Amino acid sequence: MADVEPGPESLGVSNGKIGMWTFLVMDAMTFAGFLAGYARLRWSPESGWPNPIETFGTLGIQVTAANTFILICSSVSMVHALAEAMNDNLERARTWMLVTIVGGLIFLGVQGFEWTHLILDKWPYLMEVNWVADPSGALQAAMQSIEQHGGYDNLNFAATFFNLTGFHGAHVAVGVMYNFVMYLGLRNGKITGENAELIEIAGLYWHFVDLIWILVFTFVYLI
Amino acid sequence: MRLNTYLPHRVRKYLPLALTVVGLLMIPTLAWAIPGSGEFVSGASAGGEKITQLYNTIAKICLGILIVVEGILLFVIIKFRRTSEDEQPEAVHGNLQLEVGWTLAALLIQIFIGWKSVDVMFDVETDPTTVKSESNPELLVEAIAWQWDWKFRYPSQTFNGEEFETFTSDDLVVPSNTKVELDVTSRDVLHSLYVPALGVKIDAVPGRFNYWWFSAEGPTALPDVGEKATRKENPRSQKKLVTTRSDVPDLMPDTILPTESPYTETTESGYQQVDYLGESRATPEQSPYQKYNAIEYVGMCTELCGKGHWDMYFRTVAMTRSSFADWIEDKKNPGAVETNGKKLYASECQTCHGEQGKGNPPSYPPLRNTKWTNDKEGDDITVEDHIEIVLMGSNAESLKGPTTVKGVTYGGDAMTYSGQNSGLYDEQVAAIVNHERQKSWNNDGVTVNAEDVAKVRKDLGFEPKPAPKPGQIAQDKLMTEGEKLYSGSCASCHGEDGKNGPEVPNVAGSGAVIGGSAKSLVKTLVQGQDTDAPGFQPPVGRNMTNRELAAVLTYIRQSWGNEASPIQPGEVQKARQQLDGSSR
Amino acid sequence: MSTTQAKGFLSPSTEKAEESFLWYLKEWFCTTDAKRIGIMYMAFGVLMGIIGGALSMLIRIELMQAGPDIMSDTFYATLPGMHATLMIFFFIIPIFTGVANFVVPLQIGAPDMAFPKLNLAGFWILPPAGFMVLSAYLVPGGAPGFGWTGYPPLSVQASMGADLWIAGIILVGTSSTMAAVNFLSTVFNMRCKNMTLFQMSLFTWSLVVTSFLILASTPVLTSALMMLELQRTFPAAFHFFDPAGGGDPILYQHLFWFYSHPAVYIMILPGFGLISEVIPTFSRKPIFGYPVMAWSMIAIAVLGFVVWAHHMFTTGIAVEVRMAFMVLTMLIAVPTGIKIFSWLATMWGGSLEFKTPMLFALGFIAMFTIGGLSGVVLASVPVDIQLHDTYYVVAHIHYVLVAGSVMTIWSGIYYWYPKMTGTMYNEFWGKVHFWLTTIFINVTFFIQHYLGLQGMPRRYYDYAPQFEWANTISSVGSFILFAAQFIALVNLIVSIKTGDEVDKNVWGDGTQLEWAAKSPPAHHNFEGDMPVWEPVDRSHGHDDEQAQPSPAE
Repeated sequence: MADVEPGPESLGVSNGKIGMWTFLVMDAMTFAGFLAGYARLRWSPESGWPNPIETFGTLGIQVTAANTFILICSSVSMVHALAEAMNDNLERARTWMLVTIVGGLIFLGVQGFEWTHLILDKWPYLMEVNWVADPSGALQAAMQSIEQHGGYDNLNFAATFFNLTGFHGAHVAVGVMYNFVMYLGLRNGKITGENAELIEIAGLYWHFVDLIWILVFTFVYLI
Repeated sequence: MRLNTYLPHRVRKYLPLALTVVGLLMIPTLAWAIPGSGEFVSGASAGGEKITQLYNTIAKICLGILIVVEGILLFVIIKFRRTSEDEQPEAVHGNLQLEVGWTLAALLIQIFIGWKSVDVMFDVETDPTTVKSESNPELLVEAIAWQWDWKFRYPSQTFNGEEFETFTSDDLVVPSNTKVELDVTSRDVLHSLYVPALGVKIDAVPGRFNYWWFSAEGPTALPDVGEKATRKENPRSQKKLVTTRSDVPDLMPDTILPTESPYTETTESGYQQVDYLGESRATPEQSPYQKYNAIEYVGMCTELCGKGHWDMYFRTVAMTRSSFADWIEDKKNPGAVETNGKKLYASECQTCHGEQGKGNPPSYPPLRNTKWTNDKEGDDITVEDHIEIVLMGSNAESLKGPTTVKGVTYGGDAMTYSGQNSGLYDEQVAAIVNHERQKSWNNDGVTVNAEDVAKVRKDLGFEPKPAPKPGQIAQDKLMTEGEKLYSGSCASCHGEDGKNGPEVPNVAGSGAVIGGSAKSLVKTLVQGQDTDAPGFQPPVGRNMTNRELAAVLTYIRQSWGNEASPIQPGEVQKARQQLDGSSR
Repeated sequence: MSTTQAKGFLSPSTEKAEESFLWYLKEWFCTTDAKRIGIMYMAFGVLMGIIGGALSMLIRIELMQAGPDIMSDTFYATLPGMHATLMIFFFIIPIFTGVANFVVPLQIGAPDMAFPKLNLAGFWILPPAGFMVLSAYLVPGGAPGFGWTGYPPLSVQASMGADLWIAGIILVGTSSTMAAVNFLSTVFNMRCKNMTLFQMSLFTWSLVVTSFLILASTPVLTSALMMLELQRTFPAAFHFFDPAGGGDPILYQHLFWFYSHPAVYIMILPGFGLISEVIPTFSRKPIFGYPVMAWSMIAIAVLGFVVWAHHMFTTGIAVEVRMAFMVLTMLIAVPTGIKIFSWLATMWGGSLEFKTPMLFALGFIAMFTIGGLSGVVLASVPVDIQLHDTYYVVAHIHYVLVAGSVMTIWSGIYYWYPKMTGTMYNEFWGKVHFWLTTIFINVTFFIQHYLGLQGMPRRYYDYAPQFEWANTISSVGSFILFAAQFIALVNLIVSIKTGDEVDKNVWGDGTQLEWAAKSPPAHHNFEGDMPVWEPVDRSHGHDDEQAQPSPAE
């Protein structure tokens, strides 16, 4: 992609950066769609939305907050990786990139743990219903299962939770792979100080994912 | 290769002309867009009329803009076409005044249209009344949509001083010129309730009620209520448009709406009769509402809801308030007379004679294998005597004095029951007799029918009492309504007593009235008298409903010494269909 | 087919491709040349347009007479939705993308798009997506019968074909966002010397605006469809649109129309831009009010984002909300009106030449005005509630999309056809095509206004008998309209071989940079000489040497 050079009347940045920015506008709108749906479901009259702090428990919120901190840290390490790469310190850039990747992986791991806990302990009706074997009866079976577990105020609390965190988690996973490709590039010498902009573009994506998480965390866990 | 050189010269010459002709032929279709031609159909309610007027206003403005734009375009095409290859027009890059001008013009037009629309919108949608009153009753109806039909639920309420219990109907039956509140919901997917003539359209969304109101125009010849509900006459109040109610599932138990859709797929080979379309498509269908004084509007679904979307027609029936009261009454007592012998026996006879006809000796005699219920022993008691007993009880000839049945003697005058006094119809008496003579009770199984009962009644000096046929109206009701209609529409010429000669023909004693068929009489009233005959009969019946025509005809045929048979709305509808295919 | 005569970008670039047609084809399929990708977009769009048109023919055959005729209602229910899906997502949008792929790099004096490989990938997402949507007819349960809107709960209830449909639409959305990212990067970063933003052609402008619309709206559709698919697949866990689980069926409509209303502008703005190219060329005058034309497109796009609820006036949203959306909707008519009057003013005092592209442009103005005005009628809430989901809406959308978008597409294809192939199409058959199209668009769709006013709902398998005569007229018109399009196809294909060869500036009066490139252009548009933009000043008379936009020496 980098083989096409900007024209004389360009905005003064590379094509790749503009492409990433426009892509991020689009991705932000996807999240906006999900968040708008979430807002509509949650803040409609008589929605009976549960209090997230009670649902997740103080400990649950704290674990996620720590996870958020890790993701923010990985953004910081991404900045370091870029700075080192621009100064042609490719060794240290590689290390920082590795830190970023590990940060992303830890985030995914904690989120996986959280999902498992929620599905098994908090919302068991999700798993008790065999929707594959009996798709048509699944809804009724789910309702029965919900009643057995004391009932929940609004089933969409769980639905929007998995929807938002899951879609964000997919972005983190893609970001980890993206960063890994950058790491390989640094290791094979394909990325040097001259084309460190590639890392900057990857950084744009990674910071974006981080930013979105702060929104999701605020909406889903805190408010 | 230039293909056009292969076309004959004549074709090339006349091609533009031919295309122009085709284009001109399209102008009639343009006429449909001309506002005010009455093609917008929402005219039968106060709200609908306003919307129609609004449409006409906007359409006029749009047509004006269209003519201006197309006019300029045509002018430009003709005036500024290239005449020589060297032409070099002056380059104009813009004109500030012009641009500001048309921007402002467009803005002003839009503001005008918007202002008009907001006005009508609040007019149509604002709840017209705040307080229900005796003179200004309101009706609440809940419409429940499902794949693929409608159910209308009338929740328990007081309407016009009468209280009724919750019931459901397949059609939207409402009193005319009355504010009707519609709460619309759905059991499964999205639907949309649409009655074009009334200007009613609102989506049916599962899980909630959407609100709309309307006031439908009904029969005009004999309105028994006047006031129309509009905002202008009543204080404004804003009603919440959407309500969420938890009892939605309770409204739709399986007893009201079938869980399995009765809808069957239409295939190329199998033609399925459409309920409402059927009326004009195949055999003329008798409306189940023709006995009421009512006008019908077609209603349908406008939100795609699956394969049966196109087949969700329902009738919207706007009745006079008295007809509406009759309809509710009929809903309470589902019209048809009970003619099931077993059920009648159970309600009329079983208390004394027992379910199996074994009686309860020594107070009540058995009915099994007795001479009264059997002819096979060759005694003097006939089946007519049996009928007489059911009608008269102990006053029957064959029960006079003490009676001995199977060795037990029962006292005279013991049977106080009388079918005559209980108001049984001929058919019902026959059904009881047939039930009592059944073979499983060791009786002969001889059956009788309504005529036999009628004969017995005549012999006893009573009038026969045949059960009313479904869809027919009691004669006295027709007479009362007919009298009103006659004095309103006819008496000014024909006189209150039916005699106003010599210029105007007498109705009393008229051969045409007494001997004429329903069709000829309906034709006279609907179309007016043909010009060959002396005098002039205006088509006073054109705007009357079937019920009104039936009433006025029955009245003139049975008043002032006339003794012709009454005419029922069903006959009027048939006659009207034969005349012009239209029916109200 | 011999490839040796092909010129410019059409010529094979390897020896293998020169010898073997299959290799030549392979070169096309793997090309990163925006011009070739553009032509592939157009070919694919035309193919899907023919299939979508055939589906509409089935609809019109069924409706030609009252009563069930040739198909079951289950099958009929799938037709309106599949027709609309194919026409919107696989015909109009890809064709405009295709035209723009060819024209935009030329007009801004760039050698290619900013991301040529992304461009190719974006194109190759389309055929599988189209195949997925069409293959819904082959799976058990058949194609989805819920219209192109796919409202739940009906779409939750639908059979497996709906999953294919949803996946196909998400893929199309991905493809068009890829194209949008590419266009924006190209236009912002690849312009030639002296070409500032307000020196660009209006067609390029329209693509900028359209790309922003796609970028901001399509993802919302994607998220709505993903939520829908989650609810379909895991009915126990997800209840977004299911009231029994606390969801709201109307939520989907909000998200859907947040995309689909801007989608209408995605489908018409490139047409506006295109007409703004054609009319000055054939009037020998510059466009009237260039900055206003550009700003009005931006205004339409901005307003287009805040009017979506006017598709939902009957769903029971509050009076005040509907009032606000009505006012905003009416405001859109203002910039649209400005455009129409500016086109008329461009022609005023000009020297009009009625070549086929110009005819289509004039037909577009004449008929799009009708579509725009019926839009004004529909914007009024009380009237819209009555006309919602009736044939009036069908007439309106077809006046906008057929008399609007399709007319401009034809105008653009005829306009740039000589540039694409280096040969001229047959003018006579072009005019025949124009007249048949114009006349029978009106025959087909005008009468549908009447049907709607009379209260015939759309998507009906059968109708009341009093609507029969109008439906018959509409059906007959649509048959001829569909058949007439094949005249153009034959004309354009045959003319590749038989048409006269053309010069650079085919129409003699083109002022944009594409007319400075060869016909057909070389592989990298300007053969290595980066052009410099010099606006053509027509007021100094029509001197060939001077009027030609010139690449840098």
